[in-house]
Amino acid sequence: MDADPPGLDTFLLAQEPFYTPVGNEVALFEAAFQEKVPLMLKGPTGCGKTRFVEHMAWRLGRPLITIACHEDMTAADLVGRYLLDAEGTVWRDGPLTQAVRFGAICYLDEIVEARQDTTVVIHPLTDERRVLPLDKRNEALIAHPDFFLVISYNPGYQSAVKDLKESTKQRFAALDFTYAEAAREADIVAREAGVAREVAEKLVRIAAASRNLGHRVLEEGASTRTLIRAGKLIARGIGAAEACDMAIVAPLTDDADTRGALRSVVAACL
Amino acid sequence: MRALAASEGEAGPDDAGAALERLLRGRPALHAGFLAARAHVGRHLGAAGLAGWAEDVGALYHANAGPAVIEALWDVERRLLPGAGAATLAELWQAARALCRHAGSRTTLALLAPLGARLVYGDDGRELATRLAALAGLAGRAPDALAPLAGVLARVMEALPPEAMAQWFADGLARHPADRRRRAAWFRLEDKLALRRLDDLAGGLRFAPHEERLKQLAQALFGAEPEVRVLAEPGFVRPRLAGGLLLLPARFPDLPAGDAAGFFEAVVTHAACHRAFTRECFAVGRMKPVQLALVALFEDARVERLAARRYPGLGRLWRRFHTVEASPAQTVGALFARLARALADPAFHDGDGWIAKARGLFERGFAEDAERQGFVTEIARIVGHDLGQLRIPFDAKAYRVAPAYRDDGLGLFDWDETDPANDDVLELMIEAARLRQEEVDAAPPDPSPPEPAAGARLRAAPPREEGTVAGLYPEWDHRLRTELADHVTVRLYPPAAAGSTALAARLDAAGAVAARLDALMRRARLDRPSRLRRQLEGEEIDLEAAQEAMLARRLGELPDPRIHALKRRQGRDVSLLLLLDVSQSTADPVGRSGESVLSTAALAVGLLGAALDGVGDPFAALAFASNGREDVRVTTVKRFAERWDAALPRLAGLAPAYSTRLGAAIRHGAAELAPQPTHRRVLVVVTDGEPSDVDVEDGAYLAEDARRAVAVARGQGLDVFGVALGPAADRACADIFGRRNSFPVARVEELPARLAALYFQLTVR
Ligand SMILES: Nc1ncnc2c1ncn2[C@@H]1O[C@H](COP(=O)(O)OP(=O)(O)OP(=O)(O)O)[C@@H](O)[C@H]1O
Ligand SMILES: [Mg+2]
Repeated sequence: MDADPPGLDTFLLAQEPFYTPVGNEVALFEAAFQEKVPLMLKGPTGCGKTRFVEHMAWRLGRPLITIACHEDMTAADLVGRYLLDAEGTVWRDGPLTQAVRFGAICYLDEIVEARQDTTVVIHPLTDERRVLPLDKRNEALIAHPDFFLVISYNPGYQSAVKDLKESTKQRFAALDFTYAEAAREADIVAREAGVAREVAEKLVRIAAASRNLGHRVLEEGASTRTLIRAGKLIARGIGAAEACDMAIVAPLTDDADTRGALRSVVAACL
Repeated sequence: MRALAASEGEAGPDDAGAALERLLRGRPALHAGFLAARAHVGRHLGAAGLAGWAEDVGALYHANAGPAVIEALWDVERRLLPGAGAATLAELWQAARALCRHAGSRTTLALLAPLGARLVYGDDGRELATRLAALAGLAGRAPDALAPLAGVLARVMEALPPEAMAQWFADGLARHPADRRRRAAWFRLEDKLALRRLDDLAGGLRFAPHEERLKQLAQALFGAEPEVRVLAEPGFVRPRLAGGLLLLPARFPDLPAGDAAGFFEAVVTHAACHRAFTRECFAVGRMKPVQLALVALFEDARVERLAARRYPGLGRLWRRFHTVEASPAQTVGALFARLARALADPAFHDGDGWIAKARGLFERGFAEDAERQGFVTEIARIVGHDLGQLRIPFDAKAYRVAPAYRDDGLGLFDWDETDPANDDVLELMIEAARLRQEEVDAAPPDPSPPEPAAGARLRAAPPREEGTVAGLYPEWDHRLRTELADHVTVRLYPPAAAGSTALAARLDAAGAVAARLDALMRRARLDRPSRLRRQLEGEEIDLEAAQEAMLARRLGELPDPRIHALKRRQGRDVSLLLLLDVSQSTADPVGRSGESVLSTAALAVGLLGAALDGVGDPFAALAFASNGREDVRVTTVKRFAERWDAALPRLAGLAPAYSTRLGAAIRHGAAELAPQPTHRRVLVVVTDGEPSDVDVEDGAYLAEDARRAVAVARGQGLDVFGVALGPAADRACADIFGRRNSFPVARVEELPARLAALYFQLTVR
């Protein structure tokens, strides 16, 4: 694309990221993209939100800029700052500004992790104005028509402190994500980890059982991601029980009883 | 020494220990014993073994063990010898020598007696050797402990396997490293703690240590947590399903040793299979006891197989306990155990014709339609009849389901559907009914919807005294979809004076919980650090600010000198108002502890209050109940401005009475909390049931009103959460507060351990 500076080419996805749709999220995303309605992907960790965005960026042929939010992130980290060099000062766009300027899809992953005074910079981008104020440059950058903002949000955290402001939430349309249903999840695990379908099915059963413990005992059950990790270990020749212990059970909990229960779950499923 | 003896031994069996033999000639009784023992040992171990043996005997003799000890060991040997090897015998002699050296031969003899008494002929002696070694080890470290121990050793061994026994010794030494008198009390089992430890270590066979893990396992695999009760009843030796309960005997007389974790896992998962797959009870009708037992046996196999389709590992787990071997025995017990194994284990072969036929019928039925429970009854009738033809008697009273992890089957039947003429099952019916009674006794208090009984409870409440009016609040009528203005009156009642010593003592006793909370508190106090930018001074440079300062200088402007960054742990900015439901239902007992819901909740609030005092979060607590809309009764337990100590007596003085008008209480609590100047204002409601009141018939009315009150409070910027005590409250709270914002505490006795933790979870990132 003409408008893309050479730098943004690196954000174009060369190959199709493998993604199995769970519902009609592809069509919904496309519609939101056409209408430029900012999108919030809700769902537990490791259920494929990031992968989905990558896949959609590829489908739509747009560059994708992903920003993993964290607590120490400042507005300047998103928007950009002046730097000094031999000639004097130069302005360097932050990743968000790059996306706004050149029309990329910008994905703010785990936005709750960022402080609320940081996240307010996205507000003017999410209403009709579609502008990004660059205060330091005294400039209001009008978004490229293809600029599209996507955030992810895990509603599983039961913390009053760590939540999105209502005013932030309501600027987005939301797509709910959950883990793919058993057969499809097994397909995903088999493919991504490179294990036999029966192995993947067993891993999926383990995850389903662990998800039954959600809320009361565990914050969340085992995610698709952990299954893929376990599968990869198995594909490398590690024993299935050990691989599950390492990739699924141990990361989920430190409680002795719960570990015991999960180990028995693994034993029952294998 | 050993090399010398060995070369001596090569001369021939009769020469082994020749020197010792010469020595013993002077003591005819011992000499004769020696010759007999040598001959016996020689027969089993041969010349090579004999040499080492003679050396060990000699060593003990030279250690001045005295003839009685040596003779006792010979006696032990006589019983062991077909089973034990030379190495084990050597261990025995050497341990005995260590014992004698440290504790003297009298004590050694006293210890050998109970050890020997446990031996059976042909035993491999491993257990004995391990126990003796543990005793020798103890003798080396605290010889004074052994004489007291000798008197109770039989009991200790009865309770503990060898490794656990060694552990118990070690515990005693660790507990009393110096004080001999108290150490003696430990080893004489006169120390309370010694007995407790003994119980704990024996706990391998008790359910309690496995309970939490297995509840979680059942929840994970089958989506439902079992309610388990352990009953010590004479004659009750198999698990039993009783409605929603799983009853477990306190003792299983025939438990497989050493695998308690697996055994209880098998028990719980088997019971869970019935819950998942035995869709309806079997009608007893005209079936005879033998047919009932067969129905249960086939049904066990059916549900286990269904479960193993999804969880093959469970099949392997259960098979571990099917240890019966193929045999021609034709008693009912033997046949049923083998049939159970045949159905569970495709690789099992048994030549019996009846078993083969039963197996064939089951396989056919299962292949046709495994989900159809009815086929089980049909084949039970057929093979039960065959058993009669074979003239194999069935004694319902003596029959025990095998393997031991399976339930006794009585809970699978609908005893109401028994043919009146069917006298044979009368006893089983009575037994089943007896347990149904247990079930009622053991069932937790049912905090179900506002039933008429609530009215009866209310009449028992103390006579009405007027409290001061604290506020008028609206109420939401969900059918009219409108708010009824000034509909409820909230009145303040002074707290009852009560001594708080009992509560203080319970708070002290909850030390472990308090310690955990302490850790949480420290974390809360520290919170995560955050970076304060643009400071005049600080431990690091704020790059951003530095850049700007440089820029400003280049542009010839006055730079902002605040170019440092500081890491600071920022103070918490949360206040909490707790609303405690003290309606009549909180008088119900919790579990088997005898404490009421309210006193358990008071303990929880006490722990939370102390923790908050430590953190410094502003905190207030109100207790609430209601007696109609004119009298929503609120008692202040603690005001924001007060110190925590002042609240304790009031907390102790709370008494359960009246009903639960939740919405009004929430509105009143929100009104108190809203003026707090903190960034976060958290309202937590602890309740044990659905809202109800004397003047409300419509079950949904008060719940809808409470929902509305929560929404309004959230609109004011308050964070509102519900803590639900017991399952019924869970459902109600999820509706009122939303799933994410309600925290079920299914077992109320866990509340003290969980309430404060919940609060910190809510307010710490
Ligand atoms: N529907 C799907 N199609 C293909 N792969 C999937 C799908 N769902 C999950 N995955 C796999 O699961 C892994 C984890 O997914 P992803 O990283 O997208 O999770 P996430 O929801 O973004 O997690 P987090 O919230 O932690 O960022 C992916 O690497 C991918 O392999
Ligand atoms: Mg059964």
